[in-house]
Amino acid sequence: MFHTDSLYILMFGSGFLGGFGHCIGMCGPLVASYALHAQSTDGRRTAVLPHILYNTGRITTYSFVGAFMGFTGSFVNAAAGIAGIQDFAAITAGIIMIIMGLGVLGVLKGMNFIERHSGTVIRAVKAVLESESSWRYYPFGILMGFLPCGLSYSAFIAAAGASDLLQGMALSVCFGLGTVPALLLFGIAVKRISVRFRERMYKAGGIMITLMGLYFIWRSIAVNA
Amino acid sequence: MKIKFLLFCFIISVFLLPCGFSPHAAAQDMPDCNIDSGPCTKRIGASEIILDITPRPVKVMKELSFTVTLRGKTADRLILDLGMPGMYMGKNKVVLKKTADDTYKGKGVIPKCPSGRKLWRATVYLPDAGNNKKADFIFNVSY
Repeated sequence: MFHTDSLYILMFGSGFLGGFGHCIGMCGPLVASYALHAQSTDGRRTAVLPHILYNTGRITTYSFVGAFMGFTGSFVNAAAGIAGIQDFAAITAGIIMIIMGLGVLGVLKGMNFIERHSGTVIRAVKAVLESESSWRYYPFGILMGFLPCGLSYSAFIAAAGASDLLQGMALSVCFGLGTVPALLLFGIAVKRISVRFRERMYKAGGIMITLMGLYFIWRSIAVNA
Repeated sequence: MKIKFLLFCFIISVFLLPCGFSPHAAAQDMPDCNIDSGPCTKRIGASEIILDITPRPVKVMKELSFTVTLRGKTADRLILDLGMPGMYMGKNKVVLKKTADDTYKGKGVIPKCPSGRKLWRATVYLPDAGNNKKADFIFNVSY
């Protein structure tokens, strides 16, 4: 139907338009969460690096999922194969947002009982979030790349349609690169605003992040019920 | 004070968007086709377009067969675009190949939206008529 070259451009365009028209709406709270969290832990010295690493992680996942889709040639079968990972990612995203939200509010420091009584996943997430290295946003992006998303599903349907491992991978990477400008600009904007309105933004953001984390968990359970 | 209010609106809108409040959602984006009970028909000028999706009920994340019957026009193939009213869902096009005089068939998938929204739109573009000549079928899907 389309020439391969134009398909790559189409996928980039789909990601670019979807970034502004879809990703900011669906993943905006998640980006705002880690932007505020990075602000509260890193300060201003690493304004862009967390976003670049997060998006690189996301695209890494897209490339592997796209390759898998292309290799199998069947979106439905491949999607069923990674459904468990996606459910795990969706619930983990909610947990991460709650931990970040409580962290931004400054509540988490006094809640060591969570650590004592929480599962391995929460302890692992907390350890990664409390790490001082900006590189922690790369594995975070890898995990969040698995988030169930209607827009990325459309890209993976195209990757499966390619019926070729490398082409499926390349198409998904083009799509992922297309989504970067919107999420990058959004994340930087949130961070800039949070610098200017530090106290009020932190309090409002922390509460909203925590509530949205609960909503993410509820949503992933409700949709799969 | 105005900046504080704008900031408050920005934060609230960012966090409410995933709940299904889309700025593009419109009142006319209501189901106009009960696809689970059978084919739906639209008329564009002198052309009649009939859409059928099987198996029923139409479920997300399943391979679906799309059949379009086109009366009053003819083409080698048709393009069907799957999207969600009020939310950009990327390029998800199904190529429908001619199987009989006025029948076109193809396979596609309607992805699952984590927001839980079930309203989808299938747009059939009429051949050689530009983007203005299209038939939108808005229907609910099952999870």
